[in-house]
Amino acid sequence: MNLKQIYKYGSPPNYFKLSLKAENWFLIPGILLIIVGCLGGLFIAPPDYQMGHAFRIIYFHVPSAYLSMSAYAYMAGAALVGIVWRSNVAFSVAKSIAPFGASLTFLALVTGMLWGKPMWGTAWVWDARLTSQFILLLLYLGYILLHLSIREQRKADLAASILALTGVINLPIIHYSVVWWNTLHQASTISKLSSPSITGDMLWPLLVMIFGYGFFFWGVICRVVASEILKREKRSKWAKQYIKELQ
Amino acid sequence: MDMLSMGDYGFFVWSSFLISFLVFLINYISAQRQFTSVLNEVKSHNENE
Repeated sequence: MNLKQIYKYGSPPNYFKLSLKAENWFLIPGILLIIVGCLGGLFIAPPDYQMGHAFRIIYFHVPSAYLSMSAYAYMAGAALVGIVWRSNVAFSVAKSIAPFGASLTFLALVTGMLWGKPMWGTAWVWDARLTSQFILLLLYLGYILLHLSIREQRKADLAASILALTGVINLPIIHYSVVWWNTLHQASTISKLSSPSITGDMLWPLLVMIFGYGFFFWGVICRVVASEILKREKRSKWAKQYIKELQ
Repeated sequence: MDMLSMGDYGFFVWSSFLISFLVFLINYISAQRQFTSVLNEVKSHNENE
C-alpha cells in the first residue's frame, strides 16, 4: 500500500465505505474463532493440576486483558494521528474504540475477580497489576466523559486525545507490574510464545480466543466508526447521497 | 454434569463465560443501534433542509 492509498482512506467517505465493507470480514471469523476457543477452553483442554477447572477462566480473562491494553494503544495511536494530521477520521476511530475498550477492561477486572476469589481467597487486592488495570478503566472513562463534557467537536477531540496520549504511560506499567513489584497476580502466561508456561493443549484455545476477541472487536469497531463518521459528516454531499441511495 | 459443576468452580467459570458473552452482545447491539439512529438523524436532517 503506497502513500496515495493511505491518504485515500484518510478521507471520510472512503473510510466510511471501507469500514462497512470490512465489518463482516472481521465479525464472522471473530465469532467462529470465539466459538471454537470456547469449546476448546471449556470442554477439551485438561484441568490444571493445581487450580482444577477454575483455570478455564483464563480463556475469558487473558484475551479481554490483552485486548483492553492493545485497544488503548490503538486509541492513543489514532488520537496522535488525529492531532498531527488534524484527521477527523482518526479522531472518529479513537472515539469509537473507547466504549468497547472500557467494557473489555471492566471484563478483565470482573473475570479476574471471579478467578481470584476461589484461588486467592479474595476477589480484590490493591496490588500493582490490579490497580494499574483499574487505572486503565478510569482512563477510558475519563476519555469518554471528557468527550461528552465539551460541546465543540474539535476541542473535545483535542482534549480527549491529550488525555489518551498521557495515559499511554500506564500500558508498560500494567505489563511489567508483575515483574517490577511483588504482586499476588501471577506472572505472564504467554509473554514469550517460544516458551509459554502452559502446555499446548491448554494454549491453543487461548490463542484462538485472543484472535477471536480481536477480530470481533474490530468488526464492532468498523460499525461504530462508520456511525461516528456519518454523524460528523451529516451536512456533506456524500452523506446525503448515501442516504438517498439507501431510500 | 461434571462439566457443568466444573469441579465446584462452576459458578466462577460459567459466570465468566456469561459476563463475557453479555459484554460482547451488548457492544454488538449498541453498535448496530447507534448506526441506525445516526442514519435516522441524517435522514431527518436532510428532510428539514
